[in-house]
Amino acid sequence: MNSPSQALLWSGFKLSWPALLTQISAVISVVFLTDLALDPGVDTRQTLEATVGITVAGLAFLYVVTLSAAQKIGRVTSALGFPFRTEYALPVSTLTLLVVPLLYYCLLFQLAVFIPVIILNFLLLDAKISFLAISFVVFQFTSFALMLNWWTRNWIECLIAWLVVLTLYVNGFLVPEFSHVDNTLIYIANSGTDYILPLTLTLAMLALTYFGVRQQRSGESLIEFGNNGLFTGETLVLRNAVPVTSPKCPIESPLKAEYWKERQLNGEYNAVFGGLVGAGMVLAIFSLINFFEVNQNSPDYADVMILIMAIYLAVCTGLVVYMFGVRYKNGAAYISVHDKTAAIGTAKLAAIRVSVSLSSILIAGLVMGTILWILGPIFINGFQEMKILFLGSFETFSRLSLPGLVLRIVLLVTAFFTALVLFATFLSWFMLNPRKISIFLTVIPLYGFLLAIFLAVILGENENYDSLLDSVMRNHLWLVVFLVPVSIATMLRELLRDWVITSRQMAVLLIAGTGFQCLNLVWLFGANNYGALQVGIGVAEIGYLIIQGFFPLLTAILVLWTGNRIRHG
Amino acid sequence: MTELVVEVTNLSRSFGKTVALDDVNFQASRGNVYGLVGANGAGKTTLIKHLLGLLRAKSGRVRIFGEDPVRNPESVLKRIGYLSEDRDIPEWMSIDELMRYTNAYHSGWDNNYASELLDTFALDPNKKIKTLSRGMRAQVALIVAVAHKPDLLILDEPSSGLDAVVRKDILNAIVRTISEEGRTVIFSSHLLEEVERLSDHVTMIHQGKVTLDSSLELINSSHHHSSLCFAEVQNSVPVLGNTVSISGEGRFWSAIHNSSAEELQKSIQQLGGEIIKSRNATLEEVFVARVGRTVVGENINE
Repeated sequence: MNSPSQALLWSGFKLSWPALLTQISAVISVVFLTDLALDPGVDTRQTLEATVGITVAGLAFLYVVTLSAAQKIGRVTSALGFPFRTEYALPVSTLTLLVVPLLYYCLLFQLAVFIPVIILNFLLLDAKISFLAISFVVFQFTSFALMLNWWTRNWIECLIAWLVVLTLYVNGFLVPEFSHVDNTLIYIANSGTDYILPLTLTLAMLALTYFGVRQQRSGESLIEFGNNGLFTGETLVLRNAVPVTSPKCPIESPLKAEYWKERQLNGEYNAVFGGLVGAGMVLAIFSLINFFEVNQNSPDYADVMILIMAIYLAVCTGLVVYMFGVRYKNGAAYISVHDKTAAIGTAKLAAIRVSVSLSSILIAGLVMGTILWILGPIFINGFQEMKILFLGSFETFSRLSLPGLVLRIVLLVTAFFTALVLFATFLSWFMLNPRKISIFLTVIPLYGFLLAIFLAVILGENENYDSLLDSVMRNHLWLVVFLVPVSIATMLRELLRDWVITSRQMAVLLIAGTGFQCLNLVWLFGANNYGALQVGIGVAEIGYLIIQGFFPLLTAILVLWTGNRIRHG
Repeated sequence: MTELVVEVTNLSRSFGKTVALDDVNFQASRGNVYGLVGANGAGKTTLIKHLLGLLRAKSGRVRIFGEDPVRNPESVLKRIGYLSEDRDIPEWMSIDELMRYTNAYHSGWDNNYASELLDTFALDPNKKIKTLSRGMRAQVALIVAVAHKPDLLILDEPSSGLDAVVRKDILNAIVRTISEEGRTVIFSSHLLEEVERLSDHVTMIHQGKVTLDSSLELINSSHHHSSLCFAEVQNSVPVLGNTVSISGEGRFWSAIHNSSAEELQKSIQQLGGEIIKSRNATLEEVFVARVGRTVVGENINE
């Protein structure tokens, strides 16, 4: 490395390539699975939409992981301000320190979009793509998302800047108004001059960020507002910022003390805050749309619900991501030794952490839902009609018997919690072993891709090929089906060996898991869901649907196993 | 029979190709202070992690109070006070919150002792830990490690971050009080003068192996530093019996040996030399000699 710029680029690459690889592999795999799940008769539009949605979700993952890895302190509440603070001491100009990572991350996000999209387009979509337009939109979103969080450490200034930029975006100042050609990825701007204003605003934001980072480098802020530290990122914690008397740590038992600690870190304070921020974001977006009358009509009910659910899922992710106490510190995963040496059993620790995180998710949902319910009519056009539609969607449930209703609620809530806990576990393991996991996740689609090519070479693309591919898929599905009980057995063996659970506790877990499986079977076959009995669905697929009933048990055991592994190495 | 608090038997541990611990045996009994010394990366922290159950013994056996710290973390850790090398304490808590939190885990928590130490260090219990200096954090971490009067106190580089007064007076007093009350202290340190001052027993680890495990008294009495003078210039390192290390050049050499001066004298006479001066070796000299950093070409002329 011959220059500071090269050193900064190298450091950025070392911290981000596993996340990039994971994002690309995950997007390709998920789109493939979605495509398989879709009816073959449907046109490629749905796959195209799924590709765009999944790629955007993948970008959110990439953004959070790469930026967190670069943070000196990984917690989101401390993430405001320029993240490369340890580099302040290096003999490098502020402009280089700002521009090199900024351009690198812009390039990274371009790769994260175009690599999976090009591969998927070649294999599935066969759609025409506007590279320049998409590249420009990705660049604008990436650069603004980074600069808005970097220019200040003051969260009020940051919030105001976000609202201003959102206003500019809604009014078409940041991205030219493109006309979209249906069933393609072609976006056409009216003329080349449409790019001039957005680029000028980007440069203005860059100048603001440069001056902001220059001030941060010497421990100051660009605007001396809230200079007492009240509004800096570190104090953006509800238990500190709001004058609520937090209860004293109970000293009667370790369980109560640990529960208190977990509540302070991931409990109701964060949940209420998350709910408030989530609702605020939804209302801010729609109030901006209303204010500028961009769309005279009421927004589409489905769009509103998708936005609310996307933001709620983001809030949920934030509430469960630190479930195992793994976070980033100076670019590496870090687990507090203090946490690991607490004189409490691993199973109790895991139970406290999971229960606090899950109750926080419910609290955040309640807060967000209540605020939207009350303030929605003021900020969102046609909200009353949406309320009626929303309530109408529950009519199906009102026709159900009480046991049927309870069954569906239990299944829904358990499935939701299971998915979130699995995601949190994945994130923790990803933070601990980014390279291994990213390579493993890449091998799976690569294997599928090579297998498909191998079959195509042997048989050519004809009916035989399709039926053989289906057969191969089914046979591989058996692997997943068998993997679940094998994983359960292997992990249970380790838990018993380390006395994390007793054999009696294991029996309780297995009984509860089997109980849930019974509910799953009642749901699957009782109501003829998934059309399993009509469509002539294969044995492997039925096996897979049945084995899904063991996912909550698998998740519970995985949580204990992960807690044990993290604690004892 | 002396009650064993720590019993490590044939413990080995590798991280990839790096051997961190190689067939380590270590025992600690009640009422003694054990100093763990070794160069950076020697394996001291890995051994401590095994004692705390933060690493599972993949080969060999670890017992603390007769129990496996991985299988019984609750009952083992209740009786241990631990000061980590990086003073890892929850920064979001206030000092008072951390005291109460730690109190909940340890039935032996002594509020008076904790308050006394807070006063000694002039710490405000209402202050958030994240607002404290590094030295103050080290003091808080020390209080929470000792205030519950643990049966086993493990200190990883306890002097790091502490000023000279706290290090010499307060840390000394704490460690001595604990051992006099019949409890056990294990501490690792790079400051060999400190280890010499506090320990009853020294365990030296080098490249994952225990190279010396003995009472400080025995180490001091068995290791000698002798200045040697030869009649003729020695072009290569003189080969002498029972020397741990030898350094110097020309006619004047210096040896650390674990034999008596008389025994060395016999050996040196065969090479036409004599002992000019001999004294008990310091722990630092023994350490440097044991980790194998023999310096040839260094002229020692005492």
